[in-house]
Amino acid sequence: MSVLAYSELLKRITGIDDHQLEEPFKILSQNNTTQSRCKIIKGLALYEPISIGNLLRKSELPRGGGSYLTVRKYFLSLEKAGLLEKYLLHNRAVWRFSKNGEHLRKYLLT
Amino acid sequence: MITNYKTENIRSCKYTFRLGEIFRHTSVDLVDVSQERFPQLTEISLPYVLQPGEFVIGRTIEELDTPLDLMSIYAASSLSIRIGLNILSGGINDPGYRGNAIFGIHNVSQNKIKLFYGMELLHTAFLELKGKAIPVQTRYMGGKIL
Repeated sequence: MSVLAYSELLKRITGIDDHQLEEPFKILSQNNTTQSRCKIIKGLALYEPISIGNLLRKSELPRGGGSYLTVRKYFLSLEKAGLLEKYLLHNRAVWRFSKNGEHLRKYLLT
Repeated sequence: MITNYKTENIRSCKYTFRLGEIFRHTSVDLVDVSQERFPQLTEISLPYVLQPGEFVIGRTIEELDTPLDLMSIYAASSLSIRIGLNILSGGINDPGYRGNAIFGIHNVSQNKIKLFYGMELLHTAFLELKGKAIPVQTRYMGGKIL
């Protein structure tokens, strides 16, 4: 008889294996993920697929041109790292988590 | 295994439940389990100020669906002990049990204590079983109080 510890509880309750989160968190830490960007990433998990403009609006963050470009640059770096992907929806670029970012998305939603 | 869970409440080797509802016994002449004479229950809305010596029954927000290879043991959170609440529980969550966790909350302090929605008073540690368990059959399945 043995007691389930954190990683096993996390896996059994949420379906998330902590090993599957190591790579996504490594990518986030290597791409200047600040506190406000954490809010954006959480918002993306909640509202994807979504355009950056709408995401900033729904996350109640500044929506000026500078903010938009900074987030776009950040998302492009995460796309390059394989965590996010963008596609065109009604001629607008919308973002979502890629297959590699699926475990992170699930974790952010819990 | 647990629904309505909060990821932050998965701790080192336990899960900490959140208080969802509370109930109070109404007084009856005699409680006689052999004659199926139980006290009636009244739901009280949260937040609620528990008077010294008062006892209520709590039901968790979380619902368990315990697999047959696990059981869990309930224990009072250290917070409840520190503020003077005695948490009474059945002690064991059997394999196969589905429903909320039910526990007693007894104010054994000299102070009034405010109970609120989401208060963390009870936690549970899951144990992996050796061998095959028989699913529990109980009238309290589904988090029934009485």
